Amino acid sequence: MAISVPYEQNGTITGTEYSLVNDGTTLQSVTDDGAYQLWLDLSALVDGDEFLLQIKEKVEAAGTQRTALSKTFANSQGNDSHWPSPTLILVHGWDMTLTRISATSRVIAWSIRKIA
Amino acid sequence: MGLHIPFHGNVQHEANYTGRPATTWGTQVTGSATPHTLGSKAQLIASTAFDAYWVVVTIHSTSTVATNTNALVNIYRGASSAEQLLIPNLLAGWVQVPTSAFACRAFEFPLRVPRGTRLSADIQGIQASKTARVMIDLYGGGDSEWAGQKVECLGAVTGSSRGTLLTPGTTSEGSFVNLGASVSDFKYLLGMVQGTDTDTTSTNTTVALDAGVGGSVLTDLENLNVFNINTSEMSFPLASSRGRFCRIPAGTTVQGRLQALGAVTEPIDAAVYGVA
Repeated sequence: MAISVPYEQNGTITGTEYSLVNDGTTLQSVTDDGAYQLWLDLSALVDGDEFLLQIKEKVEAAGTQRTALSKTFANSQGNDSHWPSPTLILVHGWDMTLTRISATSRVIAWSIRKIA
Repeated sequence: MGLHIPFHGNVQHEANYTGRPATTWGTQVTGSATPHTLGSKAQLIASTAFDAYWVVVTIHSTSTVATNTNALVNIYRGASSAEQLLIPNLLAGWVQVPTSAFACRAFEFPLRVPRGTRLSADIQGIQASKTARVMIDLYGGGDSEWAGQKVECLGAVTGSSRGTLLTPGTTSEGSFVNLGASVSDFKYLLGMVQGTDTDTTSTNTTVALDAGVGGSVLTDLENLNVFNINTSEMSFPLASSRGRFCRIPAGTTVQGRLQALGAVTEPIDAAVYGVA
């Protein structure tokens, strides 16, 4: 099985939900199967910031995409400003999104690593 | 060959108190001379020593005999003059000094605080220049169970320095009352009560707080927290000052209700704290 990095970018995350797969605000439903792990560089966050990560997937191919994992990142992240997600087997129609909850947009870098 | 690595989370500890127990343990915070107005922030810890994943805030010395001592304490993180709210509106009134029973009210949160963080606190109260002592304990080091990054308070009424008034039931549960809507997904919920607004005496009793939605108690959030209240309306957590892990989606209107061991007909301040 090969390891690859199919999605690797950075972008300014605003109050509009942002697809890390699409590198834009058009949300996705990816059907490229694999075991995926998201890495975020949250070093730009300062005290008072708040961002929401959502990882979404369909349970059945014909089902509805819903949030499977959500996590709030608030304030400066200190030493651990790189955050790795659990590795998830994503198949039927997935996306990973970030949304700014607080007032100030920040540039956040990400990579989505794949084993397939 | 053993492959299991023993779990040793939260083995480090630091606090803003040390040495022999004293009534002055913790940091004093003083409210504004104007009632229901926050006073100056007081530093609790200048720079935390390690990444913490469990935070305990203990408040004491706010009660005055036969006096309504409603108060709210905030915990902040960040440099002086650039503080950001970390834990809002802790119900702080009606707690005695540590030489007495009903002496401390503790709040426990699975909350990540990075190493090097400055922590501070302030207070507002129904009394002018309200004072309290705030103790803080941080636990961290090694691996940790889940820890959130923000705390929301539902039910605080800052204009009155109190929570939402809930009238306890006795043989039946009290009625559910809306405390507020969650902004983020809560994965941990803690409930708390302080005194009442109507007078300065009560029946010595025990009350239990349920958390619900839409008039129904949430699964595993019945008797979320249990409290003793004495005849002077001093109150403190009875069984545990720890909340429970849960899943409450963003935008949920969380409700609270109380049931008492004895007859308590007057409403009691309550609030809940969600960690996201």
